[in-house]
Amino acid sequence: MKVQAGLAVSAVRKRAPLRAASLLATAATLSTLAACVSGSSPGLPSGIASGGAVGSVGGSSAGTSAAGAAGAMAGAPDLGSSILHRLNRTEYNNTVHDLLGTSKSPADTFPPDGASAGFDNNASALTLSTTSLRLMESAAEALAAEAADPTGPALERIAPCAAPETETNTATCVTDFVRAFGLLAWRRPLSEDEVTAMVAVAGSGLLKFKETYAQQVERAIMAFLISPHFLFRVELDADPASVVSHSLAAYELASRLSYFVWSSMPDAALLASAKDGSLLTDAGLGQQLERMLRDAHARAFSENFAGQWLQLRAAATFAPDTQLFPKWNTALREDMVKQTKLSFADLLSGTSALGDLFLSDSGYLNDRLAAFYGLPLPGSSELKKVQLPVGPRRGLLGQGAVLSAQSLPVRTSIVHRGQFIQEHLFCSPVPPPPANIPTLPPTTATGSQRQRLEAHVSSPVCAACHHAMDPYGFVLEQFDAIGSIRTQDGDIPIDTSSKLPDGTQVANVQELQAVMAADPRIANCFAQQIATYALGRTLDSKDASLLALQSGFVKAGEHVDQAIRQVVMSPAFRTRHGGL
Amino acid sequence: MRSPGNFSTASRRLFLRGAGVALALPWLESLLPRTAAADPLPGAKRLVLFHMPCGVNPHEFTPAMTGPNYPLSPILLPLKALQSDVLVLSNMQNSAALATADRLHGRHSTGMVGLYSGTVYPADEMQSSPVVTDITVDQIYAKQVAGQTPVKSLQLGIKQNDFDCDDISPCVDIKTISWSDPRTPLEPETNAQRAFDTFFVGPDAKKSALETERRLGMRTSVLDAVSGQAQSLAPRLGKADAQKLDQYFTSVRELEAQLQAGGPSASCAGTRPAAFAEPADYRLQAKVMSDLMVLAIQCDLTRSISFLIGPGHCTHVYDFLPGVTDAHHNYSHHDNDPAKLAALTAISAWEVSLFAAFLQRLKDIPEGNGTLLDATVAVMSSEVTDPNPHNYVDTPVIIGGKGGGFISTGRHARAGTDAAHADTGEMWLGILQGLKVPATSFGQLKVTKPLSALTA
Repeated sequence: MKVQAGLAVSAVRKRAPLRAASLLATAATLSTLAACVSGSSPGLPSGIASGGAVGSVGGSSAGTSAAGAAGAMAGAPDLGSSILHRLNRTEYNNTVHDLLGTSKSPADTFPPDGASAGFDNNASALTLSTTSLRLMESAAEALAAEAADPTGPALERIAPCAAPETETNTATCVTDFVRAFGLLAWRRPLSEDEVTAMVAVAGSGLLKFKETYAQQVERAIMAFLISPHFLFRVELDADPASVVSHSLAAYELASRLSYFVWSSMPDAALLASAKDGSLLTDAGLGQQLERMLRDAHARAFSENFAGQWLQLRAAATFAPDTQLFPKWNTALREDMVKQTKLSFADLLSGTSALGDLFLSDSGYLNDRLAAFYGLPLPGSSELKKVQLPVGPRRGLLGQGAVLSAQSLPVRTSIVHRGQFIQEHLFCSPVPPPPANIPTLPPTTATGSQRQRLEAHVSSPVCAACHHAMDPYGFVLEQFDAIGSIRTQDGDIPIDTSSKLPDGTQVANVQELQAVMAADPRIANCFAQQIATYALGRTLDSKDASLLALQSGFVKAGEHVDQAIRQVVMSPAFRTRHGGL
Repeated sequence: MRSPGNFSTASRRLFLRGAGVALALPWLESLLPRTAAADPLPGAKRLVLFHMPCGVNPHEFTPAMTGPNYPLSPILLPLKALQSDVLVLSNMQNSAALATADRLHGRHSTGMVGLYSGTVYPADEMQSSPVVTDITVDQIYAKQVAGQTPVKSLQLGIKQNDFDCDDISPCVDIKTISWSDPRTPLEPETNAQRAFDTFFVGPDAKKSALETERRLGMRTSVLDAVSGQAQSLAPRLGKADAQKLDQYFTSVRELEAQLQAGGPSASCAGTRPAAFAEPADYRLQAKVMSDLMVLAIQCDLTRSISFLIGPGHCTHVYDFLPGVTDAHHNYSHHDNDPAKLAALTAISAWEVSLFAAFLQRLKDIPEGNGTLLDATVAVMSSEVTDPNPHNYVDTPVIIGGKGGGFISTGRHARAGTDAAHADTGEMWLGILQGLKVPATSFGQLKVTKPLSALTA
């Protein structure tokens, strides 16, 4: 038995510096390596290492106390805040689907969103340029035309008006429409001034073009959809210059919640709970969350959170060289992505702990995927949950989507796979290669990928960081670029044994996953990922709110659904401040 | 409040009528003049940034000799017919990127913002958010000539993999080379059809004149309303939020200005091709974009253009080139492997051929006593030099066109001295001054010496 889980765990619990440092020989290389040793790497979660700080912040474990957000704030005035959040492309599409019932997804044509800290719902990366606004304007125009088409199905639903023929009726109907639609589009009730202004926009073509009721509605919808109150999730401070955290207004909280869990706008029930104020209580917020998690919209969470955390979006567009990989096809690719999404969604059921992601004895297969994996066929063309035999196909790291997402079209990438584990599962960003590194000697054309990489990074300048990534990638070499099991790389037998950065020896992917499941960095990282996604901002590793969530997650038995509950109930989620 | 620009639209529209150079692409054919010269535009000069991502094969870019009549290097061969119209600069470096803290060295983004804006990324950039860079050279020029053309500036690119940023840092800084202010990246439009519709298509012929007018009125009042909303929201926001809202407000104003200038069609009415599909072939996409840039210059739609062959990830697989089967990025880390270097040379030479075709097209169109190319400064460069170590020294630079006369083409000039490289910031300062921008320094390194090699 090469795995000594206990030892490995105690080593990382102390957040031991990556052992890469011990390999270093010369002082000359030390400065370039600094970023790969100890905690100086950017964004390295030092949560556990900070020890005592964990218990002392926030005053409650994730704000479940009756005092709620406001109470928890007293001791820690700055709970962090993000800047103005623009709807990203996914959120825009989902929102117009829910708001207008359209089947169009106009945001597909918008410039790709930037991402920060691994997620494209990070407010800091969601900029807006004339290029994007121009496309948003065209989208608003087209969506408004579709919604207000007198022959279409939407108008009657969105803007009912009993008898629009008479002028008085039309005016009343327009005002009613502005009020009702405004509540949904801007995710809050309009002020009377805003109602007046939007009614004026609706009627701005009345004089010159004698516009019909539908045409007035069209104008208003276009204006609603390109308004800053639609495109941004506006949250206001009584004092924009103050950095003291304060509770969100009820409608602001409703939007945060719905964009976190659904990646879309609040529905009527959520808006109602904002209106009557129940959302501002622990019980009310908890109820809405439970309801929303059970709703079909919650699929967006697995889609967007896991899609980015586990890089499933990259897997969904992976296109290997089909001459080298004749077994591969796009149907298989879809199965793979679905498999991992379903495994993740399972974790939300409440009975699973995070470690099950690596250790579960069951998983999702259909006949096509099972045949590809070399497993018994489940007798179904749809993916269904089946028992998995002991072996490399149990757990996340044996899943085709995860393996192929980190591959190149023509071969595996030991480095990318290792980097994925370091950055996405341990939250330890690997710094980029140093500047002007000496030119490496020509690659020998012979040897396995592993042998060539080992020779390639023998320089200590490279080794420091590669030592943190490559040992994980070596183990995964038993899977080729598309995730098939192989025993040879060219004519060299695959060697899956590896010495991890902390010295732990593992023989294969099963042992690696056992070590990882027991590694507290995984839980801390997961809590960090959820918090980053929920709050839409980059969390400093010393962020008090984050540390509280991390310890809360561990205390809650690392049940994945609890991570979601905790973050929603946390003070950080329910407050904001200005002064940024 | 917003005064419509004073464009000589009527005359330009006139020349386009009955125009139409035979282009390989049928859908643009009807748009360009066959023989007619473009209207003389005394003093109108254009700046074009032509970005090639991921550097070049460093062994095959720089010509061996300097001066006129230098033998072209393998990568520069496509410029053969244009040798008298280009200036190749060597011994240049991206000093701003070099001045960036060690930890951020080697990143494509550091090179890109360093090159075009002279930004020295702060050491904590990876964690700091949002990305903050300085205004880029094309936008400095766009601001200077704002109001003289219907569109302030144009950003185009070729569609590449819509990759997700898989790392911790925001990556908008490798997807764009134009920043209109420190927080506003201007993403390139990569869909040729959309770019064409946006900038060149006139009123939809199928719609009645009344309906066209109604829609114009609707857009005007809607933009007016939302600009008012932004204005009343701004004072209620903190500084960072207000800055972000300002991106919105600025964009609304720009759309309003374009509407008031008469919409996209005023300067260059085109006919929307009936059945035009986005070309699937990458080369065709590149050509279409190149044609659009020519059209934009010819119609005096804008004076400032940036063009991105691809983002700094350079993940494209140029499989139409002999011997190229893998992503550009994988060749770029060549380890001096001869096969990878050969592929890299093929990719760089193709990129240069794209640039050459663009320059040639400009050269073919007379304007005043010269050609469109004479009044243009088109700069092709890259964020790194040797992509293997991602270095910022010996930055590849090719300048096409004379910028109205201040650039002395037909040479390979070794800038700087034997002891020191010249800075790309000096080049931008020299170009800006040549374009009559009253700039006295460039970038965060505050370069104050314009590059003498441009003229000497």
